[in-house]
Amino acid sequence: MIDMDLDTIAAFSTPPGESGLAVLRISGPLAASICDRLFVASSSRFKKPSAMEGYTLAHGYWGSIDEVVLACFRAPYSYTGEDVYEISCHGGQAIRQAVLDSVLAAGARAAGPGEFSRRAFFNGKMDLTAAEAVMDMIGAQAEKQAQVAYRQLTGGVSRVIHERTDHLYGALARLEMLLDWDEEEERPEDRELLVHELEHSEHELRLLADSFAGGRIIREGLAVVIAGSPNVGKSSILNALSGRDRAIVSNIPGTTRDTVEIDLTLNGYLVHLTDTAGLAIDSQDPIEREGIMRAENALRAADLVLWVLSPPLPPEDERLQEETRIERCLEEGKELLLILGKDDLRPTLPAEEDPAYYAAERFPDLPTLTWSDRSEDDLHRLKEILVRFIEGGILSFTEETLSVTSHEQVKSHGEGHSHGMLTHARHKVAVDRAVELVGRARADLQAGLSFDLVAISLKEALTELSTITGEDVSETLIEKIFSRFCIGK
Amino acid sequence: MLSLAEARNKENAFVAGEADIIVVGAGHAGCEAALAAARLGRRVLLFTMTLDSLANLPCNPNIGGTAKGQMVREIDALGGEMGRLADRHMIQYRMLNATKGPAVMSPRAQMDRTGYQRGMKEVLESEPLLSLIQQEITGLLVAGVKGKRKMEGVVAATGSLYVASEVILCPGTFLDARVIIGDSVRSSGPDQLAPACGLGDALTALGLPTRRFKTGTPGRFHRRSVDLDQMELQAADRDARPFSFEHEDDPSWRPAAELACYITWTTDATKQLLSDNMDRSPLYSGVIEGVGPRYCPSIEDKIVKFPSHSRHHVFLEPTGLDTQEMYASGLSTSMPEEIQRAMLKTVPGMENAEMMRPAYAIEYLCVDPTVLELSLEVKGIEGLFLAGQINGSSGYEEAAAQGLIAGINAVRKQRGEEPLIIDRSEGYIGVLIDDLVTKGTNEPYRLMTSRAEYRLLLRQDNADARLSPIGYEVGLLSEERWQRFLEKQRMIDGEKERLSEVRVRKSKLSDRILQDAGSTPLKSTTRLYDLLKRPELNYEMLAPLDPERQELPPSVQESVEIQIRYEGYLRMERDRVERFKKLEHKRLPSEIDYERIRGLRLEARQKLSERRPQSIGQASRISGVSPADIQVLLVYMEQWNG
Repeated sequence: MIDMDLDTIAAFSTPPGESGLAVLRISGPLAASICDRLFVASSSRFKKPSAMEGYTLAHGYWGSIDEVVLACFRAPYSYTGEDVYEISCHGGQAIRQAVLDSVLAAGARAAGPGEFSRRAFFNGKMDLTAAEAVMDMIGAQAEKQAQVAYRQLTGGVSRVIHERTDHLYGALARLEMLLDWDEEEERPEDRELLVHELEHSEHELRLLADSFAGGRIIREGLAVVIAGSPNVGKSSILNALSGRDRAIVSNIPGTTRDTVEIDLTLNGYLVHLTDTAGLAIDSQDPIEREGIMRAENALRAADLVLWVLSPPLPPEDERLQEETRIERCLEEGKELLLILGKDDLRPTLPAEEDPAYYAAERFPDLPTLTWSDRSEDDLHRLKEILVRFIEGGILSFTEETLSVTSHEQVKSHGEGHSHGMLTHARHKVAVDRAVELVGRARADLQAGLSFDLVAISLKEALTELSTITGEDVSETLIEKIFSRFCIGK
Repeated sequence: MLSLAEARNKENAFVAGEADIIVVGAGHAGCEAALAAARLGRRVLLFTMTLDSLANLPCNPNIGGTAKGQMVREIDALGGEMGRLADRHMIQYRMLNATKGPAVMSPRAQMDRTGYQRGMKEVLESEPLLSLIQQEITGLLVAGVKGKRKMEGVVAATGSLYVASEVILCPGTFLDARVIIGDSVRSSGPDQLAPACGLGDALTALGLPTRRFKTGTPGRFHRRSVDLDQMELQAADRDARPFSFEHEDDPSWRPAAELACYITWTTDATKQLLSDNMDRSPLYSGVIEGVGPRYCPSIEDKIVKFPSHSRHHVFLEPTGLDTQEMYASGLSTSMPEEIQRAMLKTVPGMENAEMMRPAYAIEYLCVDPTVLELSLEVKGIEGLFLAGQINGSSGYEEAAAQGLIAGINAVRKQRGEEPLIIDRSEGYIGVLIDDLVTKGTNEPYRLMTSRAEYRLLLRQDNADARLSPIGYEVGLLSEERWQRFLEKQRMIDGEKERLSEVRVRKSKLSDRILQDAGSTPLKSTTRLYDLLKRPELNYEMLAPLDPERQELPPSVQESVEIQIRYEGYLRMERDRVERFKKLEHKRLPSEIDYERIRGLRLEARQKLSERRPQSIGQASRISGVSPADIQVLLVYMEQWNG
């Protein structure tokens, strides 16, 4: 269903990929109220978003996600002719995703290609010449979109959706069969069976929704941050992975004062690698302090943190502070791999200075990997771990992930996993909504509501999912009814 | 294909009649079409092959059922005939799905078959502007060249010419029909009636895409020979209700009879017999080429497709007040008579059944309905309308609904008015026609509630609220019916209003009433309106707490209760309808050149050029047109209109 002006749309108007800043545009009747809910002004000088006048700015915080600047363009004096708010946030992909998710969760819909321009046109903000240009643009995108849709239909996402929704179709087909063909009155076992089937579907769909995190990584890239105390060899890891001397490596602590970011591909997967300034705790150097702050920001946006511990271990007080930082990362739900660096030095060390002992004692649950700068085997193992991590879909290390032999080639583990994932925020929103609707149908059944009402929620759930697969729900349903039930007197 | 002028120039040419509108075929589609057109003031000629078998019910002798029952009420709300006539000849009434929710409650009634036919003949004969003529129509008179053609009339088998600018074809299952029983294949229509030959060739000559569909019917058995005591009894509902809003709340209305149906089951022996003889089934031996309906499989089909089912039910249904014939629903088959008779021995209670009519399959010619406009007029042939099974539908009700719409639209066309199009949110009639015309069908199409997107709105109780304003505007509802309708709506609104004002205080009485109903006692003063929303309560139960209540007609009580109880869900559906209507109202001009719209995918260009949808909404339902294509169309249209 295409809504023209009832709903509110949102999308980044800056291109995807790492950048300093990104601008998220929200357009439509809900734009102001969404901003009211999520924007906290930094000072009372700023009005709340719904009270802002056209062409004004406000500075503040977007939920607990990021520090942002909010720009307001009041209808009709905006690009689309509707109320438009633009959020300028930091450009890290995790931040971007979190900001977008929050806006979608607050009631906006992910905008389709060319949709802002289309609204602009409908609202008389563009003349015919401009409109023709937009037409071409949308045409081109639609063609691309159509190809993508076709690919998805013939495999990938739609197959997964079908696998996971087969039960739902089964349950609805049973319900529809009872409604359209069974002349008997309702039997208690009909209801019990349906509740049972819906519980199963709900579970399957929830699993599908949960696969989104992994799917997003495939689409947008894995954000890996290398962190640790100064001079533990962080930059050497970045250089080894990228295969070139991108970061300056020296043995003077604090050489990396700014974050160093680099994109690389591993087996075709995009990895955003960030090397941080060493997290010296009480540096007085203002440049170094700025670097540390950036490191902290990078950590917040990371999917995976490689925390490097190398001999000699820092003094006790610094070690404690470092532990606090690691714990904070874990509390924030970050995945963490401890890298025990300078492995070649370890045999000469007493146990109390050996990071392996230290790690085993303080963080026995965290996975570890030993590392020495010139070891090809170590590099292979690290790459292997990253690839498996991406393909695993779920952001956790399993036994299997780490049971790599160092001589194994870095190889992809087939496409089985990546097909099991949702990769688009729009798909995720649809599946989430389907989960909610199936839950409602189940609750309605348990509350004794009549079958026709239960069917409404179920059909709506399948309609949501059909926005991904593009199939005609009612036709599919009728196929299912006839293939499963012997119909007709 | 001759034009009228050409036909007239032939030797011995004779123009036997002239009218505004010609209807060919007096089945359920043709009768409704002719009645609607005549009642709207047009002179109508209605042709039938034999006046003794019009409005026949050659298969199951009942009217209504899931989705179909709702549609009979819709036909009545628009001013059609089927509901009224069914009310007069029903011999068993049942409300199907009474416990499954208001959206799917569907009335169904067994008919006194010959009574219904006689009744329809009387109605037709008493219509002043309608002439019934027994003639087989074998040709069409069409002027103009391909692309811009116009109907001028029809040619009878006798050579006589009949002239009209609007022609509605409703040949049902008679077009080039053949009846198949085992290896016996005969050219015949249903019930041994003659098939319609010639008209099919005329359609092909017009370039209309045709195909063959198949359907079938079970045998009929003498009541005295069937052991009904061995069977499960299925009684009529005690509180029969009429289909027609005209008879609603009329205490003097009663069904003609309240007969029972009987249920028995096939056995393992049935399955064994049919499996052993599957090579003799024309369905599997290749004799039958037509596509059969999945929803109404023959017994051998059920056994092949559902091998895990050890038995299938069989309903024995009365077929009239003047006959002992019983219809054996569930035993439809095209097996040879020998196997049919052997099969009876395997069904408990039917071991000695006297077969009065054998079961048979029938194959007939029909037209791909995607050549139609939503008005049921053929695209590119002015004045030619198709209605009923010729459009690939099945069922008496589906046929009647199409006939009614075609009849109305033929008249509107002559008057230069916009066609009447019921949309998918307004009625099952809209769902039916849109499905046929927009999506097409690969099997005989049967209406089901699951085909409707807005099922909760398309209820049997509110068919009048949905469609009577349209019927009145069209001109088929009498002033008296209209005033009664308005009064009913006033009563419903007034009672809802009153219930929202009456408050019930917590008292011993209220505690007892609620507890008796399995509901929780009141915590504070509550509006009756809100109490009615509790699933375990109903309007009747609350009477003791509502002393001011006036006695209201049952239909009003029913509507009030449903509207209040399902308020939340109804609002949800109405919101969805609103979104649906926006696209439905974006019209696509007929002169659009889809080939030139950049951004449309190739498949979409082809489908759109071929189908020529009337709105963006309709375009979105054509298979092969993606949401991305619709986006492109939307932008293109804005440009067009700008």
